[in-house]
Amino acid sequence: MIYLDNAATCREKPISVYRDMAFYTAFLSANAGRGGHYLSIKAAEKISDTAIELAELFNIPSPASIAFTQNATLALNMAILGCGRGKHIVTTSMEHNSVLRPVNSLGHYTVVKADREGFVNPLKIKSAIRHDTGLIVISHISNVCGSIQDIYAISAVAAEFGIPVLLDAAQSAGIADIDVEKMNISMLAFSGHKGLMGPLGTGGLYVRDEKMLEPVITGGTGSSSENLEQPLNMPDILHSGTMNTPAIAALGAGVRFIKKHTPAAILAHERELAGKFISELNNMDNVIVYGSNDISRRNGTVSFNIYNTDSNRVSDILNDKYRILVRSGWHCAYTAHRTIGSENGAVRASFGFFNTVRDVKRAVDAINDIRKR
Amino acid sequence: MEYIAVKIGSVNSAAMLKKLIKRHGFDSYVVHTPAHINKGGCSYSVKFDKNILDTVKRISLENNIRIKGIYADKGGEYYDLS
Repeated sequence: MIYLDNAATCREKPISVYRDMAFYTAFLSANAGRGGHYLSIKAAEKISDTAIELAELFNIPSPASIAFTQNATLALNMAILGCGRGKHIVTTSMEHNSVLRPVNSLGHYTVVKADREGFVNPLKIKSAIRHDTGLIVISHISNVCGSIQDIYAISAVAAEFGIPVLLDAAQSAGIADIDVEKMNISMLAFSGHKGLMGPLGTGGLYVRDEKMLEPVITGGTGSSSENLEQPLNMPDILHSGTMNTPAIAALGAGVRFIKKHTPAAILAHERELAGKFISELNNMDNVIVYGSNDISRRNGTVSFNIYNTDSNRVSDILNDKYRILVRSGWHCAYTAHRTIGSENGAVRASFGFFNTVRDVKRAVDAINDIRKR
Repeated sequence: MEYIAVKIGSVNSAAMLKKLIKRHGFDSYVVHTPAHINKGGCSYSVKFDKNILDTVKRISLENNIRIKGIYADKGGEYYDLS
């Protein structure tokens, strides 16, 4: 089996992640923050450990400004619905539905169209800003074609107008260098189970200034129980309900693995594989590869189509006959597909840390067989 | 040793402060805030040697962890110092 769906989730994890997940499930399944006994406190400390690791990775000054969620979608919803009500929002046509749906639900927004290769022009972001723009939401890396946005340039535009930036780092956390201070990011939403190699069911949100946020989900926080109002300090404002301590602990193991290998080296490996893959597909006359041919501007995610062949059919054959696992369709990002010219969907192969050159060769050979049918 | 306790609120925030104090080379403890200080609610404090109070204040400020009260801990009885 060859797993090429790392954009959906990182299937293979470092051994330390499996170990910590099992260990902390067995020995630290106490409710963090809901008791004063030593197990509850140890559980809360373990969660703090992971927050500290992430703060170092993203250059976040205060680890207490990181809240854990079950995925990036929840983090994005908390940020967009918690910060964007009553404001005009600027976003882009490369966004995932986890951005576009909550933005759409608020009803007051502009979608800046990216170019055919999936890149957003910062000047177009600037043109979209209005007197009542209160938030800019942008994905760092496209989950469809792997295009990497120039966040430095975009956040510089935002800073000119004093508008906060919410960065969707679902595809970039653990792979791209993210520095919230240098990038001037006000909020960072991340998946724990993709590039950070943590377990499924982990993610989080960094919030620079808790005053910019209203709570979306309210409930028990293990604090101020006498008060019917949700606490407004980070992370309590976003930590209603029981936290998944073993998974968050294991996420910490994933982050330590990333730091050991470095995001730059991991991205270089993904690019090496994606670059070889793209080059081979570009030599096939009835195959189209979407996005930029400049590998330095993308990550390991590659979407393609075989002419006159339904992408679902291609992915089914890859799965059934070759045991090569990819994802077909619109990848919860229909507007991104329309932007890059794959309105009917595409096959997406997304390479990760544990993929090899041999995986590339087998995938290429399989696609070559299919296209000749 | 004489102890100071700073009232923090949630266990998560208190645990975070304890971790950060440890990173600076000092020990501290997460404890229940006594009921006579925090009536009825769930609240936790961080207890430490009084000599590092200024360090703890700085760490809290740098990390946005709100100190809601400072108390001298005399055998579990808290006396307001703020």
